[in-house]
This record gives sequence, structure tokens and C-alpha cells, in this order.
Amino acid sequence: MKTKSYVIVGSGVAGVQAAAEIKKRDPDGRVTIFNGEPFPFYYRPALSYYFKKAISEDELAAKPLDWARNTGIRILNDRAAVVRTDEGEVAGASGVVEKYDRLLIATGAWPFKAPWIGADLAGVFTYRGVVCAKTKMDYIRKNRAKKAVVVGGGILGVEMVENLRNMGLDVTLLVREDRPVGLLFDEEGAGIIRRQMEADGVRVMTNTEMTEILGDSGRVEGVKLSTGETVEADMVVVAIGVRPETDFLEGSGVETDRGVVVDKFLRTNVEGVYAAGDVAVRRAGEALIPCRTWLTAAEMGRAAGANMAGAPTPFKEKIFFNASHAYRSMYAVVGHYNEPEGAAVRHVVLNSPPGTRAKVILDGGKVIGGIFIGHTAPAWGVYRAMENGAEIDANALSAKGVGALEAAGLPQFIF
Amino acid sequence: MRNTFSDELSEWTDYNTINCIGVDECMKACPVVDPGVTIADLNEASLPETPLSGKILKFAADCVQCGRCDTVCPTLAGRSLMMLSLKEKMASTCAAPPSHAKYFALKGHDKSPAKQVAFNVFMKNRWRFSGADRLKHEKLSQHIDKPVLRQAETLLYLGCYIFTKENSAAQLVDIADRLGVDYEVLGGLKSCCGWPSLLAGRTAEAEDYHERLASLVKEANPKYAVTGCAECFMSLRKIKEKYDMPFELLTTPMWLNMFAGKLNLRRSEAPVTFHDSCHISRKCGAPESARELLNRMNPVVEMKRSGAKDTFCCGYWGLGNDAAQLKNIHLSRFDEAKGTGAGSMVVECVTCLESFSKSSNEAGVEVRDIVDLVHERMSAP
Repeated sequence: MKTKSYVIVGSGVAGVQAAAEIKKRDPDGRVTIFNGEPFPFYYRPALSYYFKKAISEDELAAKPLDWARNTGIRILNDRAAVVRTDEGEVAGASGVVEKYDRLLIATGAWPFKAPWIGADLAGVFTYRGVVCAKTKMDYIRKNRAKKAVVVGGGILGVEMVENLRNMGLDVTLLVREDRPVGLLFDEEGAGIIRRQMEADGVRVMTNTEMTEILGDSGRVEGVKLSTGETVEADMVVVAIGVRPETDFLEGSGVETDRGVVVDKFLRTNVEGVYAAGDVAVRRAGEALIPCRTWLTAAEMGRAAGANMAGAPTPFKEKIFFNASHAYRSMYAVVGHYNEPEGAAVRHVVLNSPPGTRAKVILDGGKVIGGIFIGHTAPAWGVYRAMENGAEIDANALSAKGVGALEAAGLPQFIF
Repeated sequence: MRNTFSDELSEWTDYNTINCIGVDECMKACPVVDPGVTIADLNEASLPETPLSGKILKFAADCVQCGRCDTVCPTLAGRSLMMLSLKEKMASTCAAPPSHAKYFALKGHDKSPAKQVAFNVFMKNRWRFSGADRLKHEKLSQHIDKPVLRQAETLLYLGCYIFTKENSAAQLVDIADRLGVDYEVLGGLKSCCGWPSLLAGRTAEAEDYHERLASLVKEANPKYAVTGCAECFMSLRKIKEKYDMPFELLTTPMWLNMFAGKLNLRRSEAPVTFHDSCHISRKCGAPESARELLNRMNPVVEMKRSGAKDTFCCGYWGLGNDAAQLKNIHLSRFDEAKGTGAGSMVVECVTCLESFSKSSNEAGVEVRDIVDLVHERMSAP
């Protein structure tokens, strides 16, 4: 039987999980990864820890150093430049050409480039990738930057604010909406994060946009705001969202629509071509569903790998679970954390210490989501209750508090 | 479909190896010093198809399941459970480390009758030949693996710590006598709580111990179940929940606090410090009872790493896996204790006591069980 050739474009979590899954199912298959970054597969969500020097470059690596050799997976340190689906081949920027029987697009998404006047000044950064982190660190050190403006109040923006504050910079956060982290947290939850930032000396400006980046010397000197105010700054970090990396697919015939469009088996419209992770959008009826987290990207990668190796595996997103930290607080959001509309939808806020929040969302008697800030372990209880379709009495939940959820969420044995 | 704890553990581990985002907080919180493995190594080793390297094996054996890693993980990936999964893999795919093999040759209820008799003779002889200890332990010997348990209001669950060379077990029984409590004692190899098996990755065996323990506790049908061992406490807590048992579960300080008026404890103004048990303070969220009891006897000064979240592991006996590692853990903890200026470091768990006792003389730190302190300070009779 002919050895199958699998090519994976992108060495993020989706690509690497897919490669591992293919090797597990087709050990003789030839698996090649185009790695467009000057660094092997790393824990991208841990970048802020790398930025604040809590972890080294070695610790950032998400696979053991000998992983590729041990598994027989080839890594090409090259950026994929062109995909020729008619020929079944991918050409790298260096000119190398790889033939494939199955192709996975897993190039992820990259930050929107700053659209403002002055965006090309030195000291304007986005936030993604090891190179971004290194460049920022070097810039701060070399230019002795003291003041920073962060644009974008999402979780990445808030993470950046924390990092810069840790380095001793004066930070102003510009939020277009009426609160930071508004997509993840409700008003009270966002208030906790905002108060923490402000108590720490961060200037948080909501309902405010940047209109221009100022600088006469080729470097950032300040920013102009929609309020007319000018804020002094030595650097600007833009964290206003990402766009899927699909430019190299132009002319390939692969359908894109705010991402590479895939079906439930993560197949694109072109035979033998798949997509997974942040670059992909799943078609569900009329809707296109983006990948939202590291965990989802990893699960998509696994499913894509299985499908490519010939084991039909529909991708079914598990219950949404996102836990991380937002400005010195751990947080976890689960399921329908944004309290969807519905006649029987309501929430219960459980007693928790000041500066923390524990909110469980119910639809009738069923748990459908939760938001936890400060003390997050009960999030697994919500997850498990959703998984089991458990009915929960809101009054009993209030009485028992977060402890009951915490215990219920773990594998049921000694703990 | 999940059928056993092992199935659940596999599913948990599979999910969390990709939920982990590699921030390394768990490794920084871990009491095991310099394991020489990275998060990426651990996650890779957790995959069923990856063989375990020597370093991973050692780290899996060293892990004491203190749960400190779990409190710092931003994604709630539950590293201690992933480590338990690695322990399970270690037990099923590799020869047991010599220390584990030795432990299970000595302890464990699944001995042949001849071995059981030899063991009982060995333990009793140990007491008989140890002079002054003999009187101390005589009260206990009648309770070892007794065939029938009497129904009593209070069950003193000693498990395998009935064999401890420390005074705690005998003193607890003596206190019960002096208080005139209606009690029964459950202790010996047949009532093991299962934790040694769990730590060695023998999870199915640990589940068997649980079942056995549950049936024994049912037989005694107590109103209160009391134990001075944190691992025993964890197991009792689980079987109470699993079988919906009506007993009230108490640590020894919780139980002794019930008799506050009757104990007539003599007070000293010499400060002491308190070492929280990982399981009682952290995993069961009950750091206050021991402090409440201790405050009746002495002023309490806190160590830097104390309380439910931050307490630092005693190292257990680590099933004897790495004496140097254990000593490092002890010395670091003793430094903290000395830093408080307290004369003694008090513990509420016999395992902590046994563990720290290995190095306390060398470090010049007095380690005392809270039961020992109460026993000393109780007014006659």
C-alpha cells in the first residue's frame, strides 16, 4: 500500500495535535509540518508568563525537544507561500515543494494591523507570538519606555496591561465599549477586574477610542483619543482582535469567509483539504462558528487528524470552558456564561469573598453556565452538571455555596 | 462510558493535557525539588502511547498528591490528578520502585494467613521489646483487626496508624477513656484507608480498600467517626458521601473541641506554630479547628506558608522513595518554623508527625502532635 503523505501548514496547537493523531492512526504515514515561526511549537497562551520572565524559552516549548524525532514527524522551518490544490502540493517561501494526499490548514489567526495614522511608528506593537513578545521586551529595555497605551479591553489587552504594569510602566487602557472584558464577564465581573486595575494605578478609559498615534521623531510619543484628549506614551500595544491567516490560500480554490470554511468533519470544499484551529470557521446551517480557545483548537486538531487518517470523526465542540487569569485574578467561564435570553433563564450568585464572583446560570432547573472570578475551582462543578444534564435546585445551590460545586466537579473517588 | 475511577481519571487526563497552557505554575508550587522534567514532558508522558522515562517515573513516584499544584493552575487543569494518572501508568507498565515493593510486602490486607500471623507477631514483638513502649501500646493491641466491631457512639478510626511508633494512637484512646466516651476502635491492616495504594498508582486496589472500610464503618454504625490521620480523613469523607452514611466526620481537633469544657487544658504562653495538613486544610478546607484547639493551650504564630491554599507538604513518607528529597522538604519547612520564633511545630495528622520526626532532631525543631499536647495538658483524671 502506498505511504500516505500528510502536510500540515501551521505548527500551532491544532496542527501539532493533528500530526500526533495522524501518527497514532497511521504510523507509516509521512507527516510534514510547515512551521512558519522561528520557534518550535510552544504554549501560546503562556506568552505573558514568558514576557514577564516567569518562564524560560525552554519551558515555553509545548512538546519535548525530541518529540519530532521520536514520532518521525518532519518539521520544515518554512512559511507556506502557495497551495496548489490541482497539483496536490504546497510551496514554501524558500521554494521547497511538498506533495500531499491530505492537507491541513492550521495557520491560526493573527492580530489586526493597526489602521491608524502613525501605525508605522516605532513602538507600535500587536500581541501575538514569541517574536512579538521579544520585540516588545527589547523595545522597552532599549528605549527605557515609561508610559504605555494599550488599545482593546479584551482578555489579551488586559493581560498586556498586567505585564506592562509588572514592568513598572504607567499604563492607560482604552476600551471602546462601556467595560473591559465585556465579552467574557457580566457587569459585576468586569467591575472586579476594572477596580483591580485602577487600584494598581492603571488608567482605564471606557467608551474611548484611539484616533491617531502621534510621534515626530519616528517613534511613538503619544496618542490622540476620540474624546479629543491627548495621552503621552512611549509605546502602544494594539489588541483589538485577530483575523484568520488565509492570504496564502488565494487562488487555491479553498473557500474562505472570515476563515477557512469547514464542515463537521473539518473538510473544506476541496477534496483532501482540511482546516482546524483559529483559521477555521465551522458551518452550522447558516451560521459560521469560529474557534474561540486553545482547548477548542486542540480538539479540532485531534478530530482533523483522525479524519485525515481515514477514521471519520465528526467534531463536536465540548461544553465551552475557558479558564485563565485576568489582571491578577483567576477566572473561569463555562457553557452559556453570557446568560442567553429565555423565559426560564436566570442566575444565582453564590456567596463568595469580596473581590470574587461566583455566578451560576440556570435554564429552568438545569445548569447551563457559570462565571467564576477569584475562586474558580467550582467551575468544574458547573461543567460536570452540564455534562450530566443535572437538575439543580437554585435555593439548595445558594445554601450549599461554591463548596458543593467544587467537590462535584472532580472525578468521583477519593477527592 | 465511565465505569470506574480509572476511566474517569483517563478521561480527565486526556482532556487536561490539552487544556494545560504550560505556564509552569504547578511546577513552581510543587514540593518536589528539581524533578528535571518540564510540563511538556509530563503532558507527553500522559499520552497512553508514550513510554515513561526514568525521570518521569521518579517524579510520578515522588509526587505526594498534596494538591498544591491544583490551587495555582489558571486553567484548572488539575495537575495532581494528572500525576495520579501517571502513577497509575507507572504501576501498570513498570516494575514498582523498591520502596513501594517493600511497603506492600510489609503492609496491605491481602496477605496469606501465614504472612498475616507473622506480621502480627512482628508488630507485637516490636512493642514488647521496646520496654516503656509496651505499656503504652498494650491498650491498642486488643483492637488490631478485631473480627467483630461493637456499635458505639464514637468510632476512633486509626487504620494502620495503630502501628505508629509515635504516641498519638495510644494517647487518643487514653483521652477517650479519661473523657468517659463510649467508643470503639477500628485499626489494623484490614481497615487501611487505601491511600498507600493510591500513592503507588494501584487505584483499583485503593477502591477495594474503600469498599472494605465502608463495610467496617457500617458495622460500627457510629454517630461520630474520628481520625487523626489526614489520609484516613479523606477516605472516610469519601465513603460517607458515596454511601450516604449518617456519621459525623471529625478530625481529632474537631472532636476534642467538642469537649472543650471538660478537657481543662492548662495554658502556656510559649508560642507554637502550626503545620497545616495538605488534605485537611487544603483539600477539605478545614484549617480552623486545630487552631481553635491550639489557641486554648498556646498562642499560635503562623508560618509563611500556612492555611488552606499555601501550606507546604510534609513530604509524607513518600513511600520511602527518596530520602534526600524528603529531607529537603523537611528542612525547608523547619526553617520556616524556626523563623516564627515558636518553640514547637504542632501537627494534626499522624502522617505529618511521622514524616517530620525523621528529621526533627537533626534540625533541632520539636514537632508535636496536637493530641500529644492535649494529652499532656489535660487535667486529671
